[in-house]
Amino acid sequence: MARPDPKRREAWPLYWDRRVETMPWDELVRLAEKKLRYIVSFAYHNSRFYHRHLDEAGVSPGDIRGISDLPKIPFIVKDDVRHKIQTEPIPYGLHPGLPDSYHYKIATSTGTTGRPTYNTWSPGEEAYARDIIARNFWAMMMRPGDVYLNAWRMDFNYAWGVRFYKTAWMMGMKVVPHGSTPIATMPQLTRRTIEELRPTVVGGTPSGLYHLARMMVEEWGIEPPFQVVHTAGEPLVREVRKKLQDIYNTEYVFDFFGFSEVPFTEMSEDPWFEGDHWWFDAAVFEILDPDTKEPMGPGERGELVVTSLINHTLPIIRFNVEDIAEYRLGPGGCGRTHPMFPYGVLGREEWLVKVKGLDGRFHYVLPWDVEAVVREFPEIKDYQIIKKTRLEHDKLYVRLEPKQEPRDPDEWARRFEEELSKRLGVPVKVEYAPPGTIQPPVWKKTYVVHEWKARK
Amino acid sequence: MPLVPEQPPEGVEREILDLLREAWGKLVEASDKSLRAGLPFAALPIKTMILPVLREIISQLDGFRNDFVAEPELELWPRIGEYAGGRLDFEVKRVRWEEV
Repeated sequence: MARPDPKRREAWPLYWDRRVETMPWDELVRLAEKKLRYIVSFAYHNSRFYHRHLDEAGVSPGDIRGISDLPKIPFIVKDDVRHKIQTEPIPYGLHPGLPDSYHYKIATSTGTTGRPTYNTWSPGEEAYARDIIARNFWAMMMRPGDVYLNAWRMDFNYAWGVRFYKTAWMMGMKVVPHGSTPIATMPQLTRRTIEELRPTVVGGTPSGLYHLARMMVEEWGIEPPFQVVHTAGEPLVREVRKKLQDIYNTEYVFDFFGFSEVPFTEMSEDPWFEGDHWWFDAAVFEILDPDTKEPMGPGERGELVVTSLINHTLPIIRFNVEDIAEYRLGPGGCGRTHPMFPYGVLGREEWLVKVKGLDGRFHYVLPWDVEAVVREFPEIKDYQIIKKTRLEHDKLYVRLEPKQEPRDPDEWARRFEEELSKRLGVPVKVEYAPPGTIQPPVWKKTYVVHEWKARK
Repeated sequence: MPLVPEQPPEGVEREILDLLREAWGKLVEASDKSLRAGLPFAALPIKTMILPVLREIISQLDGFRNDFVAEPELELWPRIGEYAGGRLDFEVKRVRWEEV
């Protein structure tokens, strides 16, 4: 596999900001806890929601001296934001910590699960967000002079596509605002853009970039020019990374994570591939046991709870993002001292399927477990997990789509039922999906179909 | 009265222009120093985001000058990788605003 141009390492410093990226851990914690005391106090005195929230919990800002005090404040979830916090007055409810004279950029969630939630940021927050993204982009070896094919959503009130665009521009890259939609709907434009502009960096979802890679190699027969591939929006399964590295012929295929409410939680890998770096001067996190909600330590898998140290406009304190993750403390081989998430963020809690395994014990299956198996079989084009209940299932239901119609679809399905069952250790039922049934992603792929929700 | 004022401004506009030129000089120096000190987080945003806006405002205040686009201090870095048709690299022949 070709290593990208070595000048990327030689011509520029290793760190975007070496002072903060390599700060000794105890200093970093002191800094984060100082910021935490400040932001909790700020939120209490300015956001009507947080004032009420802390009062109801019997907590005063002075009770929060450090990260270990955070569990005194009840966590909130996205549904709380939608139904309790951002209600009246529309659109932000009691949430804001700054008047709208400070609001500068507005974005919303897609609203696919109900009323959209609103995000707005001040100029200072946006500048900080770009700085944090630049740390990640720099860690992912993007450099001034790169041509960045921005294959992120640039529409639907989506904040990240524009933010990535501006960050790449700020770093001295040459940015192509391609967006994600043309890859699925106008592939001829994508093809021409890649062939004629020869971008050196591409950013998009793993499923979108996998789809793009297959088109480039199998349909167009063109050699991918990308030296750096950065994915986000969905976990980057290690098997998919390997595929992308092979197809794009670069080892620089990186995972990046961030979530809408807090543009300071972005984390990404670097060429050491030890995990995604969480920037602890910008946001602190806790990992909670999914059942007991008790704090968990390094190496334990649980729910990710985030407190932003920067959000003033819409403060975010103890936000349970309902994603599953685990962390370990640094420093990494790169010298960065911030905590790392060895597997990135593993996925939505609602994607978990609890199945009684062949060994008699319960197994928790995520889409990536299935993905790891199906990507080994080139005859499988795509897959989806079907959830019939909220969590517990008698078997794992998987919809599989072949690249080409097999002679006997029933036999084909039975073959992969056995293969998946053997590899995952749980009983599997494969539902055959004729070619063309599972649509390529315009944005994020639908990994899990919630049939149980449709029946409710 | 010419349609395009070629004379530098006077009064408060002159004061603003002088302040901005002073800021320009300091920012160019800060960006260069940051670059040499290995601090891209300071050097690059100043160069790519602050200086172009500042230079454009200076040019507008200074008689709608049109020479800010090819300003040497605003030159960035050559692209990494190749153009489909070969490298695009040539020396810019500058046109002096005062001479046209």
